[in-house]
Amino acid sequence: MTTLTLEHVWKRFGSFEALKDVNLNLPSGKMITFLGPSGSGKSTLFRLVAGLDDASEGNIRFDGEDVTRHPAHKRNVGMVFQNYALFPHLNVWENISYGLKLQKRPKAERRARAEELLELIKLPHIADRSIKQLSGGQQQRVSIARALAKEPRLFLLDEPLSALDAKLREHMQTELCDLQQTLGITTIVVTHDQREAMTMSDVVVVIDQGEIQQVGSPLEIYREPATAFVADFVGSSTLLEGIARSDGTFEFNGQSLKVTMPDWVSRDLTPGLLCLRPEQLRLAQQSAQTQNTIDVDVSLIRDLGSEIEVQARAGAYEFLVKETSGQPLGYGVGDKMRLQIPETAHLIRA
Amino acid sequence: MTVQDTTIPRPLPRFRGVDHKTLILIPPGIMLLIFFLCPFLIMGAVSFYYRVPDGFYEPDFVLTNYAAFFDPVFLTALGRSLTLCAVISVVCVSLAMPFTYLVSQMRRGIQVPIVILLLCILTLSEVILGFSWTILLSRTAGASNVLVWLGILDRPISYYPSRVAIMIAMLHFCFPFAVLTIYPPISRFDRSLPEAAATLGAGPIRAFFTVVIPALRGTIISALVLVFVFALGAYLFPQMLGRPADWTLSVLITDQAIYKSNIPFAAAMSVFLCIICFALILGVGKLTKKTEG
Amino acid sequence: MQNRFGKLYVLGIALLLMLPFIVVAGVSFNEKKRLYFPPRGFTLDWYKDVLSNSEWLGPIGTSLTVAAIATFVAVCIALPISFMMWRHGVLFAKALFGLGLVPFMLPPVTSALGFLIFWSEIGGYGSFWATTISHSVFLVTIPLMMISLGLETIDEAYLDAASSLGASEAEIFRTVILPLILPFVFGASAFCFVLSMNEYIIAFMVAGFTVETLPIKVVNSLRYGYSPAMAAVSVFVVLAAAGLFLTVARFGDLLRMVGALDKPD
Repeated sequence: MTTLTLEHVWKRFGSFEALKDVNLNLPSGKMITFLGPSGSGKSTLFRLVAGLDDASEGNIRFDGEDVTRHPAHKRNVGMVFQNYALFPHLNVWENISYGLKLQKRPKAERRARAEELLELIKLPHIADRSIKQLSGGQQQRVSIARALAKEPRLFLLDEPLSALDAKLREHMQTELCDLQQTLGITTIVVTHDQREAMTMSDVVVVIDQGEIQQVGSPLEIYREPATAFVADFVGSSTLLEGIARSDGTFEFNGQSLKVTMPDWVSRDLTPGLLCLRPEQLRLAQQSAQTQNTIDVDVSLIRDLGSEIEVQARAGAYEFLVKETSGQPLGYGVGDKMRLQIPETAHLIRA
Repeated sequence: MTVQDTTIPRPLPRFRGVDHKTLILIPPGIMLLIFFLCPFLIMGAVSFYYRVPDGFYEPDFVLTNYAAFFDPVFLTALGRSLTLCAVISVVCVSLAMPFTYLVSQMRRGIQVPIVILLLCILTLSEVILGFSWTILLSRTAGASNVLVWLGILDRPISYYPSRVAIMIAMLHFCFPFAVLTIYPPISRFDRSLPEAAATLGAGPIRAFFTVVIPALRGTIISALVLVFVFALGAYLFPQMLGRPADWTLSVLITDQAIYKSNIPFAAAMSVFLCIICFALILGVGKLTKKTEG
Repeated sequence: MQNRFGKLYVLGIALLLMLPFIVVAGVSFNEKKRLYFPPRGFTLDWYKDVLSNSEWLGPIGTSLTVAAIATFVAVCIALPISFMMWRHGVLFAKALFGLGLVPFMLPPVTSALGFLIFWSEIGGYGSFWATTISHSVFLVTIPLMMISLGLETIDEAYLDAASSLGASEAEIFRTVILPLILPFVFGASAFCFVLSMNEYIIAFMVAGFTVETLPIKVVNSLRYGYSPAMAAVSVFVVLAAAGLFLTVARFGDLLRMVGALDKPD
């Protein structure tokens, strides 16, 4: 059970700033994901936490203890690599007990620990196999067992599921969560897959361009994205550019929409972005007398079976609407409709 | 100025420096510098030394050793060496290209024994190979016996000493080198190119000449140069299978150094040979870099 | 080109390449001290002769010793250079690597003459160590190239993994890098060893009249006429080389060691 704290951490490669003043305080015993597109700095951050790279500036603490200057082999973190990085010259149990062997533990103890971990990952009886004989999924589990062998303070996984096929990936997601809950170990998963982050984690850290965009539970991240980037990267959304007024309306394109104002709107005429999620939106007929609407043209209808995706346009804006009622739509492509904007729509600081 | 000092964050000192680890390079560095670089530098110096008649040499700065290049004996040997090696190089690479291409497509179980055979020939040096060829081209045990048996010849003859004998032995010696030079690039060669050619209607042989060869142009040029330089090193074949009139530059250098005790002249020839080889290899390196990006 | 014609071409060339060895093996069985092919009579006496006669055993022993020491020294020179270049990109290592490639870019005669002058200047001419050290620096190209090839096959994630599991730099080298490049080190050693066993011109020019290696002995005895014993020696040498390379292929990926891309069957 370890809390991880980062204080004013910078990482530079020459003149390029890979991480800019990162401050994080992550709770212990939770499943945490670093989410971001490739090149966002999430892997750099991850390598700094593991000790594989040095921070240019700032401090990294495990349980308050400053480990910034500890190299990876002195931090006791367990890592799972994207391509598993199982040593090809060692067999399964030798791989798992590699870290224990470095500590010069007796062979019987190492073997016992390896067997125990193989039980845990539900692969007993493969201790003496060579790495080449394992399937991708098995290699994945063995690399998890190897990372856990020394009871690490942090459990770090770098895009652990990206090399698995879709079906196995979903299965492993649940299994990883179960494992994390059984062990109660502070776990950090790096991923670029927002669905993976949403389903697996207790805390999501969204990173872009070397900066932390938002830290929060998956639901918070989805419902109340802190920045335009988060709204766009996590789930699909339409962002309306406008101005928040002190009377509780959002002015957009000359129209006034009534929305709940967040705390940060402290004065009149604050620029903001209204984040609209597909499942929040409804389309109504022109005749309907409704407030809080925008006139749109239906441009595309896609029936996905369980739901119908409707694309609608208003000027340069494009909206995605999800109809899940299962009833006939009553309109078609080219129809002029009214898009209903819910008052609960989230307003983002511009 | 002072503002910058406070705003630019001070980087942490590296705690995983490599400086003390580079100490491990000192022993190999000393070995290579003393026992490899020094000999070449001294050889360069000696090529300008004055040769004491009937003796050794003494430090000086004379150009007579280089002036001796204009001796017709040297010039004909030079011309002969260069022509011989050029022919060997072209023939070897021409034979090796399709050979390597075909072999690299074969099963591993076939590739490995072939590579072992090539490595054996390559490592055996001219001594054993030269000896083998003197037998194979001899009257009593040679290929001519087969021709007699086939009724083409009346009685067995010896095929050496002759220039053809030298060439055959050198082809045998240089061929494995040529194959192993072009093997890595060919094994990395994108097979979809000839396959694409096949879908466009080119037969396998035609695809080889219209797609594979042009795509590997850079490889071929560098192989030609490397084999040429490799062939220039042949030293025993001209002596074992040829007459003194067939001697190449390599033989002349040893002859001057060992039997005529004219080390400064041998050094001058050697420096000259080094320069030719360096120029060729560096030149072709630049060329292929340019053409292949 | 993977048709019958192609296979015939490969087979034909392979046979031509083997032809001299077949004939040499053949003449080594001649009963009388003449070289006939096909052999007249059959005897293994020449092999016994070589293995019992100090005239041959002496040079064989010398060559084996020279080759073993030269190989060891060459690998010891090459390993730190390749490693520092690969792991830390040290500039000095890169320079030494470049220097180490030079012997194979030049005709051996030039190196041999350089060694000859060098050893006579510093006074080691004609000594066992002159031959051995000259061989080791001349052959250093082989382990440099092959060990570098081996290092390049190592996924950097292995190093990170070892590091995260508690291995220091030295432990990473001992427990991960060394085992993974061992086949390449072994392959390079075999290659070096066989080359040194067969090397003639440097051994001849540096100590040819005092340190009689096997190739020097063969060339010297050629001057006094041929005998099936020399063919028997050649057969030994060829078999030793083939045996070593076969062993290398058994324990490592020979195709990869000569620079070919690994392809699954």
